[in-house]
Amino acid sequence: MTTEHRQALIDYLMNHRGFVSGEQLSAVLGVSTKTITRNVKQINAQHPNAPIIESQRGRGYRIDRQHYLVTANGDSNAERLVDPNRMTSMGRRDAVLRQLLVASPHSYRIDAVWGKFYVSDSTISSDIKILRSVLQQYHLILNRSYDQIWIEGSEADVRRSINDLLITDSGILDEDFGHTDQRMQRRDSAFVTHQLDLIEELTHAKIPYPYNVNLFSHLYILIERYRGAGALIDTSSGDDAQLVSMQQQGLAKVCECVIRNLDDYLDTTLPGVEVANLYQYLTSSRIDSGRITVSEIPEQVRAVTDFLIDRVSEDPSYHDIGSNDLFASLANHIKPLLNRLENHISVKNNLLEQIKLEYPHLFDVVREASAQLVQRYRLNSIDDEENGFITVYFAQALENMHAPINILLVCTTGLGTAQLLKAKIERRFSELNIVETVAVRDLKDSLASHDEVDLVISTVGLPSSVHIATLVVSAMFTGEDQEQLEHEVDRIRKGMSR
Amino acid sequence: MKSLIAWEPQWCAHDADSLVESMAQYLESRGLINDGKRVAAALRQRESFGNTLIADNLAVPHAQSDAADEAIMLFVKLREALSGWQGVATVDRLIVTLLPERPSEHDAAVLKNFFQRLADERITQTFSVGECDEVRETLLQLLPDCAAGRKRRRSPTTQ
Repeated sequence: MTTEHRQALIDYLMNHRGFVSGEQLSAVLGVSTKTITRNVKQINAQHPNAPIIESQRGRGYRIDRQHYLVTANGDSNAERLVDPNRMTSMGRRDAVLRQLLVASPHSYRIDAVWGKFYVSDSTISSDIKILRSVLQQYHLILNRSYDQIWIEGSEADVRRSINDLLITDSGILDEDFGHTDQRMQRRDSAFVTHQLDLIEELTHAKIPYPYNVNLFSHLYILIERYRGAGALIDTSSGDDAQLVSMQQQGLAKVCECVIRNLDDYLDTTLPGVEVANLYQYLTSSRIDSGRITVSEIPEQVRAVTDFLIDRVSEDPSYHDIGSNDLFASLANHIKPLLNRLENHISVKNNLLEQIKLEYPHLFDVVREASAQLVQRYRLNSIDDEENGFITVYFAQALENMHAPINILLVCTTGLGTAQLLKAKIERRFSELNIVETVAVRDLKDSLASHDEVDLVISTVGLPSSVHIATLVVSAMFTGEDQEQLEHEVDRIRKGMSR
Repeated sequence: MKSLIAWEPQWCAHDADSLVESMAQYLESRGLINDGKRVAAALRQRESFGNTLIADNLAVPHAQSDAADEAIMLFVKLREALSGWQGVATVDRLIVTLLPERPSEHDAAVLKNFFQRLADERITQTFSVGECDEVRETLLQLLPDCAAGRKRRRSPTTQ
């Protein structure tokens, strides 16, 4: 990779908060993931005291902005990042995109958008070309007429693109999100957080991650849009019909309450379609208000859940994966998933890379099963982020299928620290089955009568005559002890699966 | 089962060995065991097998010995913290448990329950930093025998 390519890698990471996956970098920069890995090493090798680019298995790469700017002090590349007039080309295009998207369809004079960057006309033309291709993916059009420029498209597409392009992968809004006023950003953020609390309070339910982040983004973008474009927003996109299809009256009332609060906050009257939009988001989120029983699960959800489990079970590795627990937990996920598909709502899955890395085969099987599901039930396509969520449910079922590891707990009397250890292990290691707590002097007899024991855990040293796995821990059962036990359990599991 | 509290006793214990000695002598002086030296040796031996610390300043030395006729629990709060427990720790509180060679099923069950409840951080916290009254109340909760006998005699007894 040339210096230019290395700089492109740095530029890209500087313009993205949080981790960026190797695959994403590879796609954007047009090089293989191996090349990305090699060049991250080369860049870090220039800064031996502390790496500029952090890499984490399953998450990707993240640049230490502060460290980069400090160590590259005096370097022209770093200076151009500090000086907005000499911002990287990617940073410049992101800034333009923010300005135009948040205010869409409001038009700006080209000078007013690019003027502050002091770039040539040919650079502006090049930026417009690139931005057009980015926006095309969202069915948005970047119009240019004489000296005016603006983005045109449906409100749903504008918001979807803001969500995808301007919200970071960690679910936190980009700190440069069109705001020069940090106080206003904080105030908006606090207001939205308060609305989420209110929703939870009114629904007597908890909105778990990542659905809370999704709802947060929806409300935050709504505020930005009405502040940025206001009356120019086209709300006549035919969603009025959905107002009457809000079957859950209680939830509809909650949405009305939140939108009225937004009216007061923005000092405006938001159109009724915003109530319907919020309703769509809420019904597309997993709201935990206690587990629903199998009989309460709608017929379509049952059928879809059964179909997925059946297809995954067809793979020889997962023949026995089906269980009532898997069905119940997956059905709870499928219900809002079907709403998300219908309403074209996507949820970011920050653990996707990790899931693919940990369960590569299972992920592929789930992806194939969900593709068949889409065909069979004529659903909108299920993306990898959703497949990642589904994979987790199957992975959990897989973990639960493991036979428990049988352990014996030992101390001098069997009545003292072994009992303390028993209480602590029961609380933290549900996969371990405690067969007995015994005095060290009774260990031999106990092992003779319990040949199912896989591991002996003791608070005192054990005689060398014990021929199965042993672990001596402190009575405090410290974090270090727990870590050692986890390692030992992993080792035994691997032995079992051979 | 007998339970006692020795709250800041006037013992001349400068190291772990002499502390164990003092605790054993204390039990002997109360007529609860018939051979303090043997009990001290049993407690030391148990410590040599492995650490009995359950909090930074709290250890639970214990042993089985025929010098005791019934199960005994002694809670000790030292006037000054003692360094060098298990070579590295500094303790100022100990819960000493002595069991006869063949404890009654009842005592064994009570002790099992007591040690399992020590996994509750609130209880460990009380034993680690609580005042004498708090410690006594908690012991009474965990050792129902002592609570039942409370009306008949002051228990756990305090020095």
